[in-house]
Amino acid sequence: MRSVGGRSAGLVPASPTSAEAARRLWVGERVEMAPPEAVIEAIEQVCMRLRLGLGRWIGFEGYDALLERVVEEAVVENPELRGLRWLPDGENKVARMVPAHEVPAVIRGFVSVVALLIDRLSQVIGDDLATRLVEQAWNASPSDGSLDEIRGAGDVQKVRSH
Amino acid sequence: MSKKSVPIKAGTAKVALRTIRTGVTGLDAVLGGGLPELSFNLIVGGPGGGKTTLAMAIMFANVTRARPGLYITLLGEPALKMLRYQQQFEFFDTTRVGSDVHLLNLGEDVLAGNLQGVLDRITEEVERLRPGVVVIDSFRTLMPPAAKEEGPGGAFDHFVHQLAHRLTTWQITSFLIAEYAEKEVGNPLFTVADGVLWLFQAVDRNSVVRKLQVLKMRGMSSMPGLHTVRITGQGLRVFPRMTERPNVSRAKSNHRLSTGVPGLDKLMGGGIPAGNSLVLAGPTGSGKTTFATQFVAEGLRQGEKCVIAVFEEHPDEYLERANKFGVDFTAAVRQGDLRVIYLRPLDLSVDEALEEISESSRQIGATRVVIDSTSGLEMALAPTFREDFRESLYRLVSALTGSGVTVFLTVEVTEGLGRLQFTNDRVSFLSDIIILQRYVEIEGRLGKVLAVIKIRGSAHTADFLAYEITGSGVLLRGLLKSYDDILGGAPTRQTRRQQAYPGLTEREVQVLESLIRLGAVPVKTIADSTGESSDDLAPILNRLIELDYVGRKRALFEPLARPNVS
Repeated sequence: MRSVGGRSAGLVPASPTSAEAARRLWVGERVEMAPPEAVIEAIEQVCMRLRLGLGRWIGFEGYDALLERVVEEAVVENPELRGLRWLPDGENKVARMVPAHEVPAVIRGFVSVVALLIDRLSQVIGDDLATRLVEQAWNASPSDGSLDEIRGAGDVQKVRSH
Repeated sequence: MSKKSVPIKAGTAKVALRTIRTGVTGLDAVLGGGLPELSFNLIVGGPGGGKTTLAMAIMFANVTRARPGLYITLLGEPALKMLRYQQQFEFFDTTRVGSDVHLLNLGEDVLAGNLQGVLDRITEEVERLRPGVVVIDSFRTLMPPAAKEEGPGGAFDHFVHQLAHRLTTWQITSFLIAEYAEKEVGNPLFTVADGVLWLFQAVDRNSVVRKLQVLKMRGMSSMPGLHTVRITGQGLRVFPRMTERPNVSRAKSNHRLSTGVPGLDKLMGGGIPAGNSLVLAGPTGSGKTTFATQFVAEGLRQGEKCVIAVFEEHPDEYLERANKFGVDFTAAVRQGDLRVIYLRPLDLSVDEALEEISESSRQIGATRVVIDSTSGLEMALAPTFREDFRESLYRLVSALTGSGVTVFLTVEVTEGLGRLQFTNDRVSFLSDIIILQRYVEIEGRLGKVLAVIKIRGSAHTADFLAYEITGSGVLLRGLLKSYDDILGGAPTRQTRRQQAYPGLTEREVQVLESLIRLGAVPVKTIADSTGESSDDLAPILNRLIELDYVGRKRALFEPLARPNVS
């Protein structure tokens, strides 16, 4: 669909609470030591779950707009995120092109994106609710939510980076 | 071989209509006991009436993790904004979001214009979550602009029919939130719905008042009329409109309450009969609040619980001043013996005021309630409600005195150069006791006097009483027996002749002196002597007999007393 992060924006860092929540969620994925492909696959799965979970609440367009904004902000301090595709656009093969030595930086950048996502949501609906909603979306299992039945799921599964 | 039909035994038991609580104070009473479970309801009205807040409150009050709530947002208020503002209300428990309460945004599906797609998404979510309560907000946005032209049987009507059918068969209590104008009440949706709650926002001059009407509620005896709604940090609160006088019987008691003003009780036949209402009417600065405060102070001294509703003064200022009357009002508030109600002025509804005062009285078991002043209460009401003021105050006083509470109301009166008038004579009818205050000019000085105008069913003084307001309260100065025309504001000292016969008018003195001169004579002789007609003499003679100045033996009247003029 579209890539984001093409222009620089001033970064207002995520609050320590949001950063800690994002870090904790990522640690729960237990893929730090996994091969680069598995790490990127995990990121893609989380992106899909976040979009499905949060999109149900605030609308997919609302979610996409929010994500676009936080990625733009995160790219300023995480240039390795530049050029990654975060939103569904039909591409699904390029993720494997991320070189192995860049994966740790991509992980840092991704955690930064999630922290900003929580932070920006917190500014609207408060820390508790924002963290709760992101956690619920992150931890949602595709098997318990009939995700395939939800419109947009097919698109989200195509999220890849290149 | 013919098949024998097996008769099915017809049951006689009717289906039990179970209700759910709304979680909104006052609304269950208005609905006649709650909302029917599994009903299909409309919450309608203009913007800002509290529709979303009402639906959210009902949802939070009725859902569990096992039977959660599903709040579906269509076009309109963005879900994030709704979450931002709704969580400000006490009922909105953020820890229940995502477990007991789920949100679903179908804005994009609506924009795609696919009603069947919207119905399918709702069906999928309902079958997945198995909710007990479903809210669709704002339903009106589903109606395509062309729906009106489609006429009955169009795509939108088909959608409504399908949705209503499914919501019923899913065993769900559901709410559709929609913006409709009053003229649209004929919409088929209103016919389909089991219940219609209408929220209004009435603007009158600078005041805004929210109201709720139960347009229909199948299976329930809902309370008719418009009920005031207040939105506070707790959420919505409905103040049921009492349509009839409360069904209460006045508690019988011979007990009298002291006014707290030394000397006044004696002049009132022993004090204020418990469970009576008293109106103290006086001009500005005449000490109405001081009298009322002493009434409360005396109650606290006697160990009674009291409620004061003030409208013209902040409670802190009131308490600071009241503490000077020998009772620690502040401590009494702290200990729960005294409740000072300060109602936000200028956009108050009658029902709110009544409910607040009644509830406070019930909560602490008050025996004395002061409303200082009814004029202030009337001013504090939104203009819309002032027309109902008299009826509403009557309901309040009836309810309180009916449960044995003694009510002390102060009323502002205007006082010009002429006769005294109640500014608010609309309230004097509701009292058992009326005490009137006024300013008088006596020998070039401004003084204050009061008179006990009536005490229902009790003897009381007929004299005017001079008083002063001092730093420590009301000081009675004595009876004004030797003045006439006190009500006129400029009393004149009675002549020595009148003073010889206390309590008699000039004409009565003239008749009495004629009798003293004539001895035992018939009416005609008195008439000839005084120039009064026989008809006019009758009440004068009756009063002289009543006061033991004159005796009667058959047709003859004779004096019983002699003047004691030095």
